[in-house]
Amino acid sequence: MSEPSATPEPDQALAAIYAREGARLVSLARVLCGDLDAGEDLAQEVFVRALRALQRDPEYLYEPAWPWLRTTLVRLVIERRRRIVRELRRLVRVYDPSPATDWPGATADVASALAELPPRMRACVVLRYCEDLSTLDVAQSLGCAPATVIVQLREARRRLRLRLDPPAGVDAPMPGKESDHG
Amino acid sequence: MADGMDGFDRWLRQQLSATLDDAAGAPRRRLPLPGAPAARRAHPRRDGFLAGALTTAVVFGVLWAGTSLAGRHGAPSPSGQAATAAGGVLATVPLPDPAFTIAAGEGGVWVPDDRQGTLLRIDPHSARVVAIIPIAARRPVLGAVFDAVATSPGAVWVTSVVDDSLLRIDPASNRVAQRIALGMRPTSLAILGGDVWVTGSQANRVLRVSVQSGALQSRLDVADPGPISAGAGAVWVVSEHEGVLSRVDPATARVTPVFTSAASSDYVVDAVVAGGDGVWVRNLAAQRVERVDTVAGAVAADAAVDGPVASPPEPFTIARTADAVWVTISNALVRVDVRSLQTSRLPLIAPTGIAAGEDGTLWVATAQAELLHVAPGSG
Repeated sequence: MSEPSATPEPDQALAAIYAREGARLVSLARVLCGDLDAGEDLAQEVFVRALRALQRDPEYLYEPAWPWLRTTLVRLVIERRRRIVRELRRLVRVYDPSPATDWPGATADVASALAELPPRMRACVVLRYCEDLSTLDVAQSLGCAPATVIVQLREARRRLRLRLDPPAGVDAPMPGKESDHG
Repeated sequence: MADGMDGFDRWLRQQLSATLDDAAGAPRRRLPLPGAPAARRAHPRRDGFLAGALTTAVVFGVLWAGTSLAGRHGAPSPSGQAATAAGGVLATVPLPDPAFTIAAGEGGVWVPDDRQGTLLRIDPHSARVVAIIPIAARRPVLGAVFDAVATSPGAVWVTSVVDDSLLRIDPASNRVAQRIALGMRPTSLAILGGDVWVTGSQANRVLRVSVQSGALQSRLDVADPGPISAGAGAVWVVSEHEGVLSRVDPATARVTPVFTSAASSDYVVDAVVAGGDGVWVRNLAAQRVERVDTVAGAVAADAAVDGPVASPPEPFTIARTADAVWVTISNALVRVDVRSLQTSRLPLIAPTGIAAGEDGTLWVATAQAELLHVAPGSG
């Protein structure tokens, strides 16, 4: 009779996941939020939720953990502003958030353009272009229909084209290509 | 992923990849792993934010204490404010706490008190608190208990976010007559005919509840439903993230998008009110009040209400009287004449929610824990 395989303690299991995916999740959260500090906070919140889930059920989070982390993060990002509004509007009538930490490097314009998109649209772009997810996978992550993702991506591309003013030669679509591919 | 991409897609992917690299390279605060001893102090920004909120709450408290220590709970005081073309303040009712959503009707002005978890009934004639109705058995330390309040013939309706419920108050007895579990966190509500319509932004859902029985009649899928209003024969819902106004047909419960705001940022349209001449929305990005032609799906008329707009937006910052639409900005109540689109304003300190009374007067709550009775002007 074989020994049952030892299930790691929740904090040990999470420590391994954190060591491997923590930095990646923070980066993704920052791009999704357009805000370095808020992104880091939200990535932390994902791990807090993961810990709670593992404490309830040690086998809740299985490898690969990245899809769960990413989906939880995306949903937190989409809820973020509403949660802030809902929780604090009763207390703070004139809400003036502190200035964000400056975005590093030469991509501040891209981060800013991305941040101007509605959260769900932004999440579609980031999952599609940064995470290489298919339309179906993006839809699954966001809990919406694939058609919604296609519409959101089309609109996002239109807005980002206008906003980012890509260099000449880049902007023209290839003949016969419409990029609502999945 | 590479297949099927056009030149712009490839370029955008490169840009986003570089953005991701920059995000990864930015210094981190090195938040510890949750569960580690230091994790409880892992939210300096949030802690700072809450500290700011608490500071603001203390400031409100000081303002409250300093402005009206005497006569709490209900003794009206004459206002020292001069009347303007927009109107004049008839009476000021001190409240125990700032209020943000109010309703007028069924013989009272109904003001939720989030801190005490009660609903105050104010007599519109004497401008005094005449009843305090317990609503919530438990209250959050921070945040709200109530999200919305409205009246229908013979009832007052209030939503509680503590237990995600809709409560019917009997105005004859000033008691909770029914508590209806919604199964979602309520955002806003409106009354049309024999139904209460409740939006749930987190659940992406709109519920229709029978006024008579409290039974759930319909459950509609609507993205990010926030502000809701009833009038012009339909229910009107704003999808906050996308700035979309949708019409809900009360006969078929069919949802039809009728207008999308041209602006691209979130929470562009933050309030809606429907009346005999159409549907008016508040466009935060453009700082305008817009009358929407719901057939053409376009703005038919609009007026600027530029000035400091309170943020975050409040869904109850718009009201309708016979000849005007009213909105609040941080330092005034603004009247928009529905025919001439001329605006006039009554300076006020931190007005929040507005409700139009049955007699054509207005009630305005403020963040200074006051309820103002306003006689509207004519222009």
